[in-house]
Amino acid sequence: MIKNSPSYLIALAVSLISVPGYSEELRVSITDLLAESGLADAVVELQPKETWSIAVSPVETSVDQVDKEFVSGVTVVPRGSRVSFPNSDDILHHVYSFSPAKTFDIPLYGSDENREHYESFSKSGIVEIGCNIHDWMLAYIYVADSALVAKTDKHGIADFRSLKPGAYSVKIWHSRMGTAGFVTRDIAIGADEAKVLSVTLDLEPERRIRRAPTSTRNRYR
Amino acid sequence: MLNRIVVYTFSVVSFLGATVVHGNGFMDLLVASGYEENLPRGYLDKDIQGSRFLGASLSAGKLYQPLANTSIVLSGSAGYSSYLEQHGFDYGSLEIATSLQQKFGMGAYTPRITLGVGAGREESEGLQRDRNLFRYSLGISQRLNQALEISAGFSREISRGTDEPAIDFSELPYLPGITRPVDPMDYRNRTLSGSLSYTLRNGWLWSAGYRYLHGHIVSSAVPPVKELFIHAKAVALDPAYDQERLMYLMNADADMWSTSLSIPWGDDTALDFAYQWQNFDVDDVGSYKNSQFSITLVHQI
Repeated sequence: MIKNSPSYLIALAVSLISVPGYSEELRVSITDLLAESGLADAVVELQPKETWSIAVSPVETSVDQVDKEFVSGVTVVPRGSRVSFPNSDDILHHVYSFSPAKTFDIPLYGSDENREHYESFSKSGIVEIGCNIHDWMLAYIYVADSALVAKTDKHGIADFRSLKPGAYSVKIWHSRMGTAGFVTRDIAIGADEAKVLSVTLDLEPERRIRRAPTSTRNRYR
Repeated sequence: MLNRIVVYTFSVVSFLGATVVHGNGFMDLLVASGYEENLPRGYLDKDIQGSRFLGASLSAGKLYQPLANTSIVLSGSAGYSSYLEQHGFDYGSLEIATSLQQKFGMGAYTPRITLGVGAGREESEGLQRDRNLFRYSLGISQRLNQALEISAGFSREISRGTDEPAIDFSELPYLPGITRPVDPMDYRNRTLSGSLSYTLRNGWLWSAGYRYLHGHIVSSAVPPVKELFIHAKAVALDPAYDQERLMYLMNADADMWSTSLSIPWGDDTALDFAYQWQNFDVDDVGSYKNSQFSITLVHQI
């Protein structure tokens, strides 16, 4: 793992907003330097640096397959969660992962099959999901150690409320970093304090296997 | 014999496909336009004629996956090409094909081998160019990363003319005593090829390839061309030129280079710009060239 890689992080600003009466809050605002706008679907995970911890509650969720794409492209679950991979297309898919955090494959299946089949994600990390038939299909499951984890919205914002005062490690990941890197920073939240952590990331443009047809390739895609 | 092989192949594969596994269907539409510099494969300057062309084809099929890393594609296609300045070369085609692909592991970055077999029929404006086609191929490909993919392959094409010639060339006066088979569309050739494709960050796909051909080609010329006639494997009146030319079946080696740029338009459509350059070395005769530029719209329905 590449931690705190300077190639990802070009600017970091922490601003303190002191608003009496607010509970302890942290807003993480991530900007994409390339697009000069908020970075959606980045994962922000807070890990308390104190000895106390917050109980992690596993969940059950799904990553659907619609129009030969995974929906959603990035799914965040706490460690121990279970995920199903239903197929809402009228064609067959074959879901697999080689990632160290979770290796599995669900052989060829069609609509309404395997809706009750769940894979368990007991090890934290980034799991890259693909389809063995449709090479361009790609999705990520971020398996978090902490219960304090969120995805940024379309404006690049992730909010954490009712935090316990103390020191936290803030871990940031985006699919354009691949599965081998993330950015970490430390932050302290005081009692009745709201903070904004602004981060600008310098990421390579997304590069995916091309989906569009060509006249020179074999016809089935 | 060929017909029987094709029938047996498709019977077995169709049975497997229909009974053992479900399939993923697909349908592609191609519309192409372009220019070919030396359409009749003319050897002498006076025989070289270019033409613009328009073409369209529709192909459909199904992919079956009987095993995790094994897939079978059954497909059929129909097409028509028209040459605006050389209507004698217009032709319609029908083809059925099957391919077996084996991946050496799961995922997008594993090597894969593809064995393909196809049979088709081409009906030309001139009957003498009508033919049945049988092709088989073996290819290997490997995606190295999200952008770069390389491939290599071998293929063989067997053509069988289907119409009797109008003239017996043993009666031609200028080379008395020399006779030739009279169906130049009876031919075979083999190709070896290699290609690479690279996807740019904006999704544009650049491809380049080389193909080496060894076997027969058909060249058309205004008669008489003695050196062509002497070395020809077969000769017939070329119906594409309404009695003006002969077409000769020649032994040749060819170098064929190609490059293309494919610009996506959404997930299911792309506009391809392609250029091909070909150099034919005809045994005991000499060499000649051809080039082709085309723009193709491909859409997955």
